[in-house]
Amino acid sequence: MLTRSVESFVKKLYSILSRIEFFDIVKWLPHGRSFIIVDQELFMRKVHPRYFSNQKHYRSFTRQLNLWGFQRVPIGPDQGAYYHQLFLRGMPNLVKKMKVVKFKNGNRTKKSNDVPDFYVLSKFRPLPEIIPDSSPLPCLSFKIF
Amino acid sequence: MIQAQTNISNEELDALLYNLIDEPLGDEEHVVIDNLLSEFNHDPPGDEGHFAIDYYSLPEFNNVISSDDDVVESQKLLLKDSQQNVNKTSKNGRAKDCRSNLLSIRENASNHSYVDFSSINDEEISESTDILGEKIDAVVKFGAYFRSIHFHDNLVSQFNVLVMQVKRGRRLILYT
Repeated sequence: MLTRSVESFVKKLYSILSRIEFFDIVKWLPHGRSFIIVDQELFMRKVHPRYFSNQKHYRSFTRQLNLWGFQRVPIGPDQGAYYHQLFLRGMPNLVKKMKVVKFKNGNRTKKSNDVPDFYVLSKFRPLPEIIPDSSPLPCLSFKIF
Repeated sequence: MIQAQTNISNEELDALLYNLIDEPLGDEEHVVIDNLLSEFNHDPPGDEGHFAIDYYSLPEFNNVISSDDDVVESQKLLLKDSQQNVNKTSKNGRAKDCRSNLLSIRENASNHSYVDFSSINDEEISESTDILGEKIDAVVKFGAYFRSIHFHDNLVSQFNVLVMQVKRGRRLILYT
């Protein structure tokens, strides 16, 4: 496992999810244990350039998610959402414990379709509501490739 | 002690729990479990023929569950998975090499499991905080939530029994 600067990706992602301005584009799901990009096109146009100016494609973003150990929900009501056990709504410090996953010989372990039932889980252990971030948004920056 | 306020009785809980630990443990499993227990500073195996773990010697849960009802419901979740495990165990048989299983848990747990860390006090977490450690450590300390997939490994199922028993405030005895 490698440790990278959390600020580089995961903390930015957490910050994005705390912005009211982006709630229609990318948001936490009600249980707070996964997030979903509601509008991919708007995400790439309005959100992505502000935070990940060094990336051009959405595919690069999802690659980063995989690299940080996020898993995609393959089926069910949260299909398309991403989750990580250390990426929880209202628990920003937990993010500090996230690490980039290093795969031996470049081989990735087969991922399971057995996604926890976050709705049931949140019934017993509800997560704190997010505190909206009202600080100034990062400037839009477009990189010329 | 949990009050029987739901459809599942303590007797049913017992039946399910003892189904899981009904099969005798092998020598290899003993060694692995003993090692794990020593990591948690638990007492070594006790009387001949079985060993007992007093729940009082285990770390207390960072309990965010407020009511007995919730505790029971949580257990029902665990038990649902456990029941699936009973079926899987009977089909697959006991794992031959528990030590390799343990290593497998340590190395691959992040890819195959979901531990619910929501009960951790987020404000106390810093860069140096060791919250993960071993996955089982997390289970014992934080009452992690296990999925049925974990029960592919008999050792995990044993420990989950332990965790469930701890939650219930009961004394666990693994018969050999």
